[in-house]
Amino acid sequence: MKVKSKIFYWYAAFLITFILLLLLPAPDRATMVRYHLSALGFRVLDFTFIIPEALIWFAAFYGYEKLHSYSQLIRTGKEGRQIAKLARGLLILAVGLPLEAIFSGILSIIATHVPSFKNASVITNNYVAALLPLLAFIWIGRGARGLGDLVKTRPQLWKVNATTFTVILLGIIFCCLIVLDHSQLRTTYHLSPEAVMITLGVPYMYVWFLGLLASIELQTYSQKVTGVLYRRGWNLLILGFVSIILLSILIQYLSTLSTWLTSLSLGWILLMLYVLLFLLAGAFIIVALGATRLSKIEEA
Amino acid sequence: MANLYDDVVTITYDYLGPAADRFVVRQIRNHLQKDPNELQRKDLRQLIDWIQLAMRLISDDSETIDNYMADLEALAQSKEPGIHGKKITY
Repeated sequence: MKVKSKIFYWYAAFLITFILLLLLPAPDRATMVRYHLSALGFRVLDFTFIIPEALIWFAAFYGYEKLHSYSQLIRTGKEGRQIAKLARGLLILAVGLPLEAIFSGILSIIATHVPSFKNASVITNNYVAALLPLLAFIWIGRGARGLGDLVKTRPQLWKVNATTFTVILLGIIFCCLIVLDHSQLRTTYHLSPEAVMITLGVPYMYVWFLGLLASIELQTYSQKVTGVLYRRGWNLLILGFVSIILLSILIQYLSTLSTWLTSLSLGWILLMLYVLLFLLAGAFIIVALGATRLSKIEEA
Repeated sequence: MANLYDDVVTITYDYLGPAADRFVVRQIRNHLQKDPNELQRKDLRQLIDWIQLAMRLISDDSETIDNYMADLEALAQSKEPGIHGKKITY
């Protein structure tokens, strides 16, 4: 694997910044007390974050770079413009991983020195976490719709209805959990239940709808597009994209239920988080494999 | 009226889909050093050889590649243009 794209210089810059933000500040006393950690144990915990994050971010950047390279090979073709939109969405998701972590780290450091800023830092973090996938899924959705237009087909009505029903169900569960847990809501979100539902719940539901709709449109394209060998590359690409979308939605959903998760032990929380993140990294690698297979057709 | 280049692309569409046009143009321009619309029946043999070489680089699915080559061979042996039906386009 050749690391020749400048996107990997950005990866290195993000990683170095993240490591510095994690290791330079003094260990957080509240976290040490909550999880019964010494200062040394806290630093060991920091390193357990750095290595998996580095691997996951690399997989995401690699997946984007391969898809971007493929989109450049076919940029004069009709499907080239749509794949470029998919690549742009993937870039936002890939860059969003380190950006969220770095942004969160900076806000935490500020909040540590300016206690009155803590509420604002939590609120800002939550909105950034909602904004990035929204932008990413808008681009992915536009690319998926454009590909559907090329093969002159739309997803079957029952799939669209199932998608809408799923989003409504997820949204209702989300709102019910917020209402049931409103006593801890201010501690977690520093917002009223109404503000959480309108300013976070509604955008998240829209993100989930965009993501699920894009998934079924991509799947429809892969079923309709011609070419035995071409379709194999696309099936791999779409498997990766659909996995990224579904896992992103799952991670977003679980993060909005963080109040319930804090009742679990640190070990279970970390295990759940890293299983999901490594599956996400695997999905980016699958996108890279699909893009590589399709690129071979354009380079032969 | 369909020319020989269109026939080759139509056959290739079954295997390479939207990439068919680009693939065939690349083989003709790079290996036969001519414009695709100038493709003649006497060039087909050489073109098929280059396409087979390229397909071995793209995929290790021998059965599919053999089917593709068989379709191209059938075109090379036929005497009439445009026997493989209407070209599918977006």
